[in-house]
Amino acid sequence: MDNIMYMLFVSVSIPILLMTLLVEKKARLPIAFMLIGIFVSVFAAEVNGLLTKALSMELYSITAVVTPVSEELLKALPILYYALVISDKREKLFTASMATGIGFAVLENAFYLLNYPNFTMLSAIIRAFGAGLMHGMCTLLVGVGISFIKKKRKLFAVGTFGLLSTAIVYHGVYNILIQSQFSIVGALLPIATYIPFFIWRLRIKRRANQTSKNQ
Amino acid sequence: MIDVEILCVGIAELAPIFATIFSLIYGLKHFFKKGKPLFLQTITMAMGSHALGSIYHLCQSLTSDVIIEGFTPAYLGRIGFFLFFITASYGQMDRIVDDGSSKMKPSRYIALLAPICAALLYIPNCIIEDVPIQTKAVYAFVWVPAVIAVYFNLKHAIIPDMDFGFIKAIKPYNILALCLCFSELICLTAWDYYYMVPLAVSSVVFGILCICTMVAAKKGVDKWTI
Repeated sequence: MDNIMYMLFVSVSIPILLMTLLVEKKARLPIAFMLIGIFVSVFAAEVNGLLTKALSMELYSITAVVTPVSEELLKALPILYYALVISDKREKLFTASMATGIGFAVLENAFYLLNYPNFTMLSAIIRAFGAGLMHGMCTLLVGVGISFIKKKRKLFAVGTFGLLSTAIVYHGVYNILIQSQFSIVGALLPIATYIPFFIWRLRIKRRANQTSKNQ
Repeated sequence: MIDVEILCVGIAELAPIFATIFSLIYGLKHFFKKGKPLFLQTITMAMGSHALGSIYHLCQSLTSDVIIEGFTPAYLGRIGFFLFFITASYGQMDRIVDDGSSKMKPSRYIALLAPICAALLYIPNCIIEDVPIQTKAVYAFVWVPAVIAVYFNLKHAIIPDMDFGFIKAIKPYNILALCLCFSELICLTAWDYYYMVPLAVSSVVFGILCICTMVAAKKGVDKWTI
């Protein structure tokens, strides 16, 4: 069971990779970034393992301090690279960042399910809406934020720091709450953030549709 | 009877959260409009950054007895808070208000008083014995941007207004921002020493200054268009 993370990675990523080659060009971006997210998840697991050994902290401190920092930085790297080098278009960054976060969460959730055989359907659902969505929302925040601050050069460095800090703090708050007596608040936090974001997106899309109709 | 310690810690935790969230909402409502200067949006982000750090700290205090020594994500909120203030002053205002001429020299020298005072405030945190070295190191990371931020705030508060009345209009903002940065440093020092009453008082002062800074910034910038 030592290499279960790698086995999962191979069994999940190869079919997706093969599919990427066949689908339409438009569909490739989210799938490719989902694959990147899956890869980052494996990488983050290794980094977290190394940090746990090196820092010799207790589990609470690791989950409250170390993993939010390492995971959010690693997830943000492909998005920052994409925004700086390839494209800073908001729609593309939106898709890429959400796909990276969800890809990350897919492998992490699968790993959890294999490691904790006592998982019930209810806990699986809570994990899907909790950790699954939380990873998506954190990376999404960085992606959407980058698309705004990239255009304001004076704000870019500090803004990027601010975005990463926000993602780290959000992840940290989730980790703290989920392992406390307020775990239900922790589980509801991602969905409570997702709903207003979804409504905001919907309004933007409607406004864009109306403008194009008027033109 | 409520324990004085619990009451003071409660005030110290909640006052900055409420004030920064109020300031954030105020900033989002008034400053994120077309034509508004970027420096207003930057100070709004400073408030948001501080709010997040404070929320993390509150969640950690409420849910666990474990005291984490050294770095926690809560400090990122504080570092971000000062970095955004630097960006607001240096990145966006300094080139407008300081043309590099010799007339500005006295202001530049006098402004050095603020970072010196801020640096001196770090000494009590450095010499305290009960606090581990990791926490002292993290505090140093918070202090560095704070020292730079207070320099520009004092400089812009005393620099002669050369033209357009730009700097004169936002002088109250700069004075309040200077006090705000110092109150935050005093809060951190009070946390370090765990002096309950000064902690609660400085947190309330910080909260009031947060709101006043945002209002002063809005009033100052409104004068630019007149």
